[in-house]
Amino acid sequence: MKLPDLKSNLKNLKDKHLWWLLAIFLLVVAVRLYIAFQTPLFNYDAYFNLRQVEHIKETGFPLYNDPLSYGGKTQLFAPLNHYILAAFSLIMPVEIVGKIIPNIIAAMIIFIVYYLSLKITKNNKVSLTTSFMSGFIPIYFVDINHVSVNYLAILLTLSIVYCVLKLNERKYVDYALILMFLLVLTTPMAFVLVIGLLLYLVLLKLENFAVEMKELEIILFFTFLVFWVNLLIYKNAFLTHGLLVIWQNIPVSILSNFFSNIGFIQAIATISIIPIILGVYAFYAAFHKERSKEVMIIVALGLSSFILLWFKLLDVINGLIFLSVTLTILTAYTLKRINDFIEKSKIHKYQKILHVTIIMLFIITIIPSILSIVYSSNIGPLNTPSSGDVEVLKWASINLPQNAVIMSGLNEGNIVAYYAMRKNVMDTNFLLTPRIDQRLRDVDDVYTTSFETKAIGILNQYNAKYLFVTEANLKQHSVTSVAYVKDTTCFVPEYYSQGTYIYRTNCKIE
Amino acid sequence: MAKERKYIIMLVLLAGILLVVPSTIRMLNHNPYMTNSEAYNNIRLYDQGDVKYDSLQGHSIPLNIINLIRLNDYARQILFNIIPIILGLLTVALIYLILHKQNISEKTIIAIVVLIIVSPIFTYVFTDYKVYSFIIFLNMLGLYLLMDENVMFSSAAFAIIPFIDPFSGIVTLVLLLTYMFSNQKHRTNIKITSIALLTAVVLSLILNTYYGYNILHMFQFNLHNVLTDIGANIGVSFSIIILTTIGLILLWENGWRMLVTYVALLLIIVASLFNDTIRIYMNFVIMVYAGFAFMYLNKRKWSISIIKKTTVLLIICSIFFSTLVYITKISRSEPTPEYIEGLKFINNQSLSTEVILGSPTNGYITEYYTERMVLVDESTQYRDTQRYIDMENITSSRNLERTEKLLKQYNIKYIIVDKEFEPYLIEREGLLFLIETSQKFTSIYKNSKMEVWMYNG
Repeated sequence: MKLPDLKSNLKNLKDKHLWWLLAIFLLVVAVRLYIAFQTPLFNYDAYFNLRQVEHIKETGFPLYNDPLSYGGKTQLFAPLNHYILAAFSLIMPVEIVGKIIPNIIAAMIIFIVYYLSLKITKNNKVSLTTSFMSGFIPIYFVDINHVSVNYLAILLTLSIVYCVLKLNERKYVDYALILMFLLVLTTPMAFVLVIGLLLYLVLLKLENFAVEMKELEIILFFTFLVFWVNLLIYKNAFLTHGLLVIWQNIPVSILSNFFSNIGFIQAIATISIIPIILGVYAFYAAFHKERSKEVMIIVALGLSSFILLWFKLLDVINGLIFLSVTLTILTAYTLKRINDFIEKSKIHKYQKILHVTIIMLFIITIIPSILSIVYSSNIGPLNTPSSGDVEVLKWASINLPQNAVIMSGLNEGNIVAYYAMRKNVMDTNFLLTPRIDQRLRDVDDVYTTSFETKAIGILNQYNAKYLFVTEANLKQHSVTSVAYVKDTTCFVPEYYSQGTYIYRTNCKIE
Repeated sequence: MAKERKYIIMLVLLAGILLVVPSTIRMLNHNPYMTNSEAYNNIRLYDQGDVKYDSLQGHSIPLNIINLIRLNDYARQILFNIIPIILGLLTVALIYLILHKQNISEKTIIAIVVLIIVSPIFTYVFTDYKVYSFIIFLNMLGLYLLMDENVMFSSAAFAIIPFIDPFSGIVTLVLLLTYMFSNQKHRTNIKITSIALLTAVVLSLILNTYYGYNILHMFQFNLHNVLTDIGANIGVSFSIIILTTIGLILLWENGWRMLVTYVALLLIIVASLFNDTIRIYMNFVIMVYAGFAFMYLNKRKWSISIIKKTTVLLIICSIFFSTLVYITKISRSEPTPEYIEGLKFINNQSLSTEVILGSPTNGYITEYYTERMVLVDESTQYRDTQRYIDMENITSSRNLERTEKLLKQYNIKYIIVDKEFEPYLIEREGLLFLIETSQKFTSIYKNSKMEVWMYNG
């Protein structure tokens, strides 16, 4: 065969794979958007992000001095993701942007997983299989309605890893630098990558690999960059909470239930059994059979997220997402080994069947997990406020005084600020709030106490004149109703819709 | 030589500016009072005249020969306000000269000295009257004289240290021996100096024991925040830690021969996490490694020049950021005139035998301005554990009978609730509850900085 023919054949082959990749991408986007649009609403915490996006759209700046959260407080966060969403919100409504853009970003992971797998295996089919798997990792479906920064963080992290592996080409140095800047402006989760890269250097040293100076330099640069930018962004939090800032001032009761939302079996199910088995084997093989730098960097990233997860320094969902993505990429390595083995054996004719079988097995195991996540009342994308909640809060936005403070459950703080546009007593942005444990206890007491005076005392303490009661909140506190609101002298129901109430308090404790 | 002099002047000038900035900012903010630190305790102990016993707090104190020097009011003011700054400037000059004798390149010397000057610990040590300002100066003087082959004066300088602070004498001895193991030069001189220092340490310990000071109290180990970027008072910045690590790797010469030195250094670095004195010493040691690392990163040929420029810029920014954060913090820190006003109110209101309960972190200022005993100050948890436990019991108990018993036992009459103590009391949920509900306490003073409650029992 002539050389030009070979080239054109190769190009066609490559194109064919790219078409497959595009098809997988569209499939992932379609599935995610289908689930996302099952409800017009978002998860509770998403409303904080939506408020920030709207504020950037209106003023060009994030709402760092938030007048509504906790009755008014400073918010600290890296704003890039919000800016990206705000840019799209110029051409479509914010609610649509919140549904579509994060899910497109999430689906883009399949491209980077494909290229990383290709770098590890040099095998297109294996890489396509792995990229398909990455698009359907069950835990990756948790944040569908969350307007989450995680997807961008994962995408940027993996892209940086890919660039680090190709630093010998000059353009990838530039790409790496740009991506690193983008990542630190997106999320403090950049620390996962910093620790991963440092572990990578340790692993290279342990396995007697030569450390390239370019790698060393870029890792050193990234380490300084991440620490310094985060110190700048979170300076006040560091000065207020000291080292405890790594736990984000999360109340002890929430921190101690860190893993309670997801048990061990559920954690395995959320990652899916196939990537776990094949990924763990890759981990073993990479160190004992065929050592590979490419695998080592992915292993280091997985170890980093595992260590951070173990010490509760990383949110359980984020930790599992990082872990599952790295295991899925490692799956490519195992698949390649199996592939090579079969090619050399007498059953090489059945190679295609094997690929299909693995994909089928994967599909069979993920479907129940995805369904259980989608319909999970704790973490699922359909765990949104009810239409009654929204209606009551929209009513409040029109009829309550501008400076009113609304007492709500912890999860509902952000929807109070978003829909009612009134001050809340507490929401899930814990940083910089003094006495956070006491505040959470007070909020819980309001919904669980049977003593009216106690509740009024707490409401007075936080200047809250209105009490927001939802079915979800009552269920969370394991009560059927708020005991003392029957006394209409002190608690007047102001508005009601589908099991959601807003009460006005008339009493004060002197 | 002229070049060297120029560099010294410039470095001393930089140090002078940085040392004067915090108090200048405080002055500009109409706050003439020193930042809250051990300086208040040192001045009070100097003023009381007794070198072996703290008559206000009622316990023995380590022997400090500075307290033997009696000065008139004017000279005393100079001692407390100007001498530490002068010692800081002299220390900078000495460090420069010491490094010059080590065949280190000019640029590296400047990098090391600048890193020392901008380190928060340097500002902490040399802005007001702390014993460390004398100790660090004497260390540098001793070391310089040692390098200059002037063993007698070097030994004399080192031998003074244990008589200012015995623990610092021990740390100096350990570091001198570590230096001896790592260096072939000046070995005999170091041995002689070490013997002189060891003798002085032993003599100081004997004297302290004779005067009734429990020498075990000087070993004050506790886990502290050591990162100034996140609010530590006596610490280093994150960038310095990374640079030091790089420096330690770079200067790993002669392989295993340096093992003893490196193990000793690592042990001292670990110990510095738990002890302020060791941390202050280590600041000056690790800056040498950090300086080398910085120059190495700056000089070496990077494969990608843009990364070199950005990384060096990031390092410089983060080091100066740390300095800036520290200076801003101490410029704004307590005490403010309002706070002092409250303390002076207690001084006028109270009897000399009455005791004050307040935040341990403000103990020294309270003692200084009220001239009354406080239940707990910064050193109580190391010196008198029972007292510290009783303070915790008082603040956390809701049992009035039990609390009153303890209040009477210590003759506590006043409780200062300030920014430091309030969150602690709220967390404990005991004393605040009793104050609000028992009617045994009366609020007698309140301003924006503090509220003073009087116990009526």
